[in-house]
Amino acid sequence: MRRVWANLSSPQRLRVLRASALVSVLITALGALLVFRGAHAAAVTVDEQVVPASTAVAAIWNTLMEVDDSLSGCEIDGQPAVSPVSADRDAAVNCATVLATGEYHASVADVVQRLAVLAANEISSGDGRQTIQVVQGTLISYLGLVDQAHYYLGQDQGLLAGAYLTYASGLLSDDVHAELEDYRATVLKELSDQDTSVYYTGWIALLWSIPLLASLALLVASQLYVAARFRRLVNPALATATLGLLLLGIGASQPLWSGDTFHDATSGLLTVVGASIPEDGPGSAPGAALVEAVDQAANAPSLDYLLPALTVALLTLIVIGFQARLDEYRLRSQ
Amino acid sequence: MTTAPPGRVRTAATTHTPLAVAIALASTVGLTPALTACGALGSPQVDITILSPWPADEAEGTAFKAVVDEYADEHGFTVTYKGIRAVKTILEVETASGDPPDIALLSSPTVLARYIDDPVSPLVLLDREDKEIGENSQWLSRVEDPEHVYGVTVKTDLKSLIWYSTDTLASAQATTWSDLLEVSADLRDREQVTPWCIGVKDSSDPGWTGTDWIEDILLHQSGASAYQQWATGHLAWTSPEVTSAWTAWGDLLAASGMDTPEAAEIILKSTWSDANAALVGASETLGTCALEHQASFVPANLEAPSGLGSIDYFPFPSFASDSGEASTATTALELSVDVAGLFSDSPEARQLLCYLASAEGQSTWARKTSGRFFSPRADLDRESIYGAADTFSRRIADQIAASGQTRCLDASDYMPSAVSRAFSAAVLEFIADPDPGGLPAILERLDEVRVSVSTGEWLSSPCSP
Repeated sequence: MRRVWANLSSPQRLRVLRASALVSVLITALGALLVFRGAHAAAVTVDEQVVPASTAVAAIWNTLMEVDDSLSGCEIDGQPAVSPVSADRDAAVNCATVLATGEYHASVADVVQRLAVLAANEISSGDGRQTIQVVQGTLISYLGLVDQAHYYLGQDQGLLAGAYLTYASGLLSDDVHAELEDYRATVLKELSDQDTSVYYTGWIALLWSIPLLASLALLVASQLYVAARFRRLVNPALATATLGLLLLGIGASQPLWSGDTFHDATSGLLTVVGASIPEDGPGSAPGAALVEAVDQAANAPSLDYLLPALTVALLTLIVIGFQARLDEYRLRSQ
Repeated sequence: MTTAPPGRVRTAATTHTPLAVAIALASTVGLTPALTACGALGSPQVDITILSPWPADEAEGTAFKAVVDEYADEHGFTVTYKGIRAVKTILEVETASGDPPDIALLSSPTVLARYIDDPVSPLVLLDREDKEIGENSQWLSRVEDPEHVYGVTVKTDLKSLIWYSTDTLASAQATTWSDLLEVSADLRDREQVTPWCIGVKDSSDPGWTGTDWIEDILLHQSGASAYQQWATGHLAWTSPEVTSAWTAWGDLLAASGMDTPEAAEIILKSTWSDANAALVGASETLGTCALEHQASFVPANLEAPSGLGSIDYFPFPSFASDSGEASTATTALELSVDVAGLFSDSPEARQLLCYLASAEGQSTWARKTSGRFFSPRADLDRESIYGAADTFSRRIADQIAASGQTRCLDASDYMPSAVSRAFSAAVLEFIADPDPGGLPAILERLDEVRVSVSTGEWLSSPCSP
């Protein structure tokens, strides 16, 4: 290697140094961009997919529980239609009154609408979407059973009305609950995948930090060579490129220093999303503080455009820094 | 990313190899009958999708998946298995979007039959000349077009059984309906246990255990011919045969003291699984009961929690004539089935379906379930599959395969959906008020539904020798 270097002319040496610096800076920038974008994508997935999906699942279940609470707790011939759901109910309403309002239709329609939105969430692609379709189908059966109860109540057949309300309640607590639990498991898996995202690990930083160190070494070596060869103290363009490279390193390390914020948010979310939906109670959704934390992690300083711009500037500075010296040689030879 | 429907564009014919092109051309001009028959060969690029009601992480699904995976491995193609309880909903969604599975298995022939004329994803016609299909005696075809077969039975369960608790009844061999009434009345008088374990609650299909009662009574009281006429829409619900079946069930409930509003509430709000557990005293809500009219899947349901030492069964009793002679209907059996249909005409899918219906496929399937699977075929080596002759599984398998009897499919799974749903609702009404005076109104309503359904929706021949 030394022999090769010794046999090169000065312009050739400058060209080798220039090419090496350009390539290593380019590799550094690509590595930094890849890691940054990967980490950013993980945070955005949690913010824009996981949080809305888990919030929607809780809202859907809670709405259905409210419907079930009112239909199961209403009375037929003075007896609870299914079983008393809330011990602290003020006074049970007659089932005929509850059914006559048609409120359950409106609530189920609202749930179906939420399900449609949920189906559009990227998490739902594949099995998740199928689970949603099953829930939608089951809710149609649910309405059929409640309507049947309504019919028998009108026929003064309280026993049958109570039976159909029991079947309807069972459909929610068994079938719909199981499907929503399946969906929650899908959301949890997505969250776990993002939580353990490789882009937030320390060793992935090697992808850009090693080329960065190499680039720095090359720029410093070039600076020293140029200073010795041309008796100049500093090459301004290369010096600026060196500082710019350090700046790029700081930017690229953003996933490392924002990782704690991200992991704090995801660990809070893992607790919420990881908890099973209670069969007979409300499900929990991420709280406002958690949503805010996730939002912060996803909206950390975006280097999407800054990194490429910085890279172009660095490459330009390197070219300029070497070009002036190469031009000197060309002029001398003329 | 959009993926191509499995088993469709990835077949040999769409890879445009010279062989594939030749096959496609030959198929077009009808020169390759072997490709559409059971003996076709697989292609490694092909992935066949199967939709069934058995989740892969449960025993039934695990066994079935192992059967199809093994076969696919041996024949050079792959299988994507989807086992899901809400199979009807999923099939509806997939067919509507034009992306149905290659093979679908359903426990309701009538639901599968909906897809015979589906404008987007119609069922593919099966060939009765195929050996494996032809040997199977239960096919899916319509009343108005019985020669065209669209599905084949691949799994069955025997429904005409009365299970009893040996702790409560040392021997309960009621061979006639009169015996059964006597046993029921005796149990009622003893007041120690509830005579019958009955639970009709099923949120997705309430009432099916009750419809089974009516079906079995009708079959054993009036015979397979009347049953077939009724199940295919040719016998009125108000006919003496059907009326008599409902009345007989009402008599049984009355003899058991289970025709009260209190008993009705328990029956209406208990699941069959609750009732099943009560048979061995393992129900938290129902106490203990003595007898249960239920299918051959009872042992599988009870095995884990309570063991099988305390139950036994006897065949559904016959209805003796006035002279004391058993009626000819005693040789009939009611069966529930799982039926398979093809949505793709790929040779591999057809080949796999044929295998599932074949003696070899059925034997493999039964072995993988440790004898919890029952075949619609009578030509299996039952001794090697089910073991000693005194085990439940072997006895049931022998009973299903015995010659000289008529096997009839569960009528409520066979009737058009509108009729089937009305039937279930009527059963619940009858349980709520088993007063014979209210029966004519119930049956008249059912008959109105029957005549309102078009002929094209009725399936043909639920009974076969």
